[in-house]
Amino acid sequence: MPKAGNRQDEYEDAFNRSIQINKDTTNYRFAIADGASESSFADLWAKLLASGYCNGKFDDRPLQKSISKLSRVWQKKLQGKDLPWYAQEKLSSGAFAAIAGITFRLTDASFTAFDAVAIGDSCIFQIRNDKMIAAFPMSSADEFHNRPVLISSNAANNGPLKDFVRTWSGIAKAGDSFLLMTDALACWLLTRYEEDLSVIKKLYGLASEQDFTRFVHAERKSISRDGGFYLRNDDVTFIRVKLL
Amino acid sequence: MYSAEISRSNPSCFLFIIDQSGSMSDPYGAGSKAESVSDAINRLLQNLIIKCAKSEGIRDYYHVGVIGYGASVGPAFGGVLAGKELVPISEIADNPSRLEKRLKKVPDGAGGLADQLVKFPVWFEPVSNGGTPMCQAVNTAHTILNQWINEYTPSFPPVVIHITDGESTDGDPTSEMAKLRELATDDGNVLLFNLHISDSPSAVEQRFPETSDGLPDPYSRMLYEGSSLLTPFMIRVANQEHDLDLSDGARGFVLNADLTLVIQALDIGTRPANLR
Repeated sequence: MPKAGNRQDEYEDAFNRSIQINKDTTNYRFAIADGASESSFADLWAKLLASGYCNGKFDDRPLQKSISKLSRVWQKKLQGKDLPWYAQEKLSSGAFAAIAGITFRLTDASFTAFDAVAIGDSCIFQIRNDKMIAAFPMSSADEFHNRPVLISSNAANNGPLKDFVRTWSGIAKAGDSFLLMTDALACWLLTRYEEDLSVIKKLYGLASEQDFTRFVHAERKSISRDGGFYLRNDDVTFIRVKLL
Repeated sequence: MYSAEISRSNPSCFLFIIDQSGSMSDPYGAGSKAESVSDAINRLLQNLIIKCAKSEGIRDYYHVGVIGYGASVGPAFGGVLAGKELVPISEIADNPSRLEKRLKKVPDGAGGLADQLVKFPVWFEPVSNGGTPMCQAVNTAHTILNQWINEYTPSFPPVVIHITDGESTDGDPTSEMAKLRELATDDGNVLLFNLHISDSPSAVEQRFPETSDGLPDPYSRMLYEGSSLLTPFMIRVANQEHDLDLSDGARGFVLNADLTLVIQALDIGTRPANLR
């Protein structure tokens, strides 16, 4: 959902999912992306990144190569638009977005192997028996700030990117849950969880989109111990995956 | 303090005060002081607008005004903006007096730089005429901002950027500047930043000094004393993004240098670390 005060069409996060059935394995992919507010056409870029991940565009090839293909799609969609001077200037800087994606490989085995990738501050949390057993790529609320290195649609800005790609591989058991969250919500979870472990149950209690909307509104108004709001006013995106 | 969210429903304000007096025709660098002022104000406006530009247009995060002082004191925009004290930033974005084509160096993605033709908006041409009624100009800013603050009391406080060679002809503006800095919203006092253009032979470029010790003349020292302290967030951005080494006492004062940093250092959301 969008930042409070913004319209629905100003939401610049994105999410996607896909199922790919192979001979012995079924791949379930989930991705969230977060377009940076100081860049233009970031919503389109976030959508391209999230769908690119779920369509396997990030598999088995160097990251820069996958990104440059998606950049060309982004540029093509915006080509020929008659834009005022400031929009042209912004367009030439490129759009920026964070991404976090995870692929579960289901086989006949009793466990599920997964691989995850993240660039920027969107996060994935692994939950077992209501406890957070892994946080990726951030594990503390102190790590969030408003200057992350993000993926740009303009290759000239992606020089430092390779040092900021985080990957994670592991094994999940039936009953585990994975929570994918863009930065404001991820930071909220790490803050709340430090104070009270039962916050995970609260998230499980959200049964519908209306529940989620109500919960976000309340947390944006809730004052934390340091005097700020528990949930920073920003676009929020949340995917909850439960392995059965 | 200085933490209010800047949004369209809770905008902030930028007021520029520019010296257009006769002394600005003095030579400075390759041109005149007046050229340096017009270049600085055009560049600051351009940066502020780009910061507010989104796919669909400009978001009105700021109300912006420019007061000129010289032969007269008052709103300095021309064309459709003439006579307006403060306008939403989108109106300024859509009404430059002309667009110049300039070559800009941009990274080519392979570690080098390439030339790119860009449109550079121009709102102000060099002007130098009359005396330097600095006290009156700062008083005018006070009146305008007092009114704005009454309407937008919870907002991030107004930022005032004053560009001058410092040679006031209607008295010492120290107390007027102090009065201006005393104005406050719920989120903090007005921030007054001074950009001093000096042709003094001993003027060495300075950015956000913590003391007036190295300043060349009384004009510089007066402007330094009249400047607000940078906010902690601005100091963090200056140190992290501009390789400066500022501490808590850094003032919003520059001598013969660029002030664009204070615009980049305003928080309106995620700014990618790899965007320069």
